[in-house]
Amino acid sequence: MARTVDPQGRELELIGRVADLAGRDVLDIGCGDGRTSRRLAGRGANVLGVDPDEAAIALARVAGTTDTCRFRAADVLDLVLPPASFDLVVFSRSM
Amino acid sequence: MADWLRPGGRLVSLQPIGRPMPVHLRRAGRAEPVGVVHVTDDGQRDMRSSREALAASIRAGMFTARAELSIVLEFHYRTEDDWNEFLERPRTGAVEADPDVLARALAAVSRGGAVIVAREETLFSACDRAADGTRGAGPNPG
Repeated sequence: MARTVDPQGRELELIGRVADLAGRDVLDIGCGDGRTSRRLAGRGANVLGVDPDEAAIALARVAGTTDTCRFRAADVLDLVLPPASFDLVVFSRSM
Repeated sequence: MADWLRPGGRLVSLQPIGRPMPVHLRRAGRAEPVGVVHVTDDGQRDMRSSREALAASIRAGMFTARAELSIVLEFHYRTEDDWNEFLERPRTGAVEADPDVLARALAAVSRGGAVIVAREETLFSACDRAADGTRGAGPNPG
């Protein structure tokens, strides 16, 4: 995919300023094609990326699912997750 | 959303503000204006709803606001297909640009070595889950 979002990495820079990432459990809501999820995992976080767009989640999985970066197709309103299971929730743009 | 956070956990919200996105062609270190892309009314409504939902959560005491600032994120389109995919997205509205300028920009992208850049103003917010993790327990900050 040639489209590049936030090539300067401003999102990750700002998130890193306000949250420790290494070893943290992170929920990335509106993860789209998993761009930010992968960047967060690259900083040592354990990330679950969620997006209602199944095509985007398919792209995210193709780009790379690992033990520390997983993806789920779901609407946030229908999402069932254990309570108190994340250190950081990233609620990001989905355009 | 607060329920999924551990006590002391943090929410980071990155939501577009919904202003028209300036578009330019970037090549050889120079930026040439192309026009602006507007956001649809539905898109504006979605973005406003997201911001209002967060503000309501803060008012309800579920979160404590820690930081908020406006940033500009860039979207780079290196092929005409990618540009067209952007235009087909539900939140993408009218393109306000001289058709000849836009056509020249797309031709430059097709030749390679150039990129169409759209800049989106985005609200970055960081909030902490309320210490006791209960809803409606905190003060109304405003």
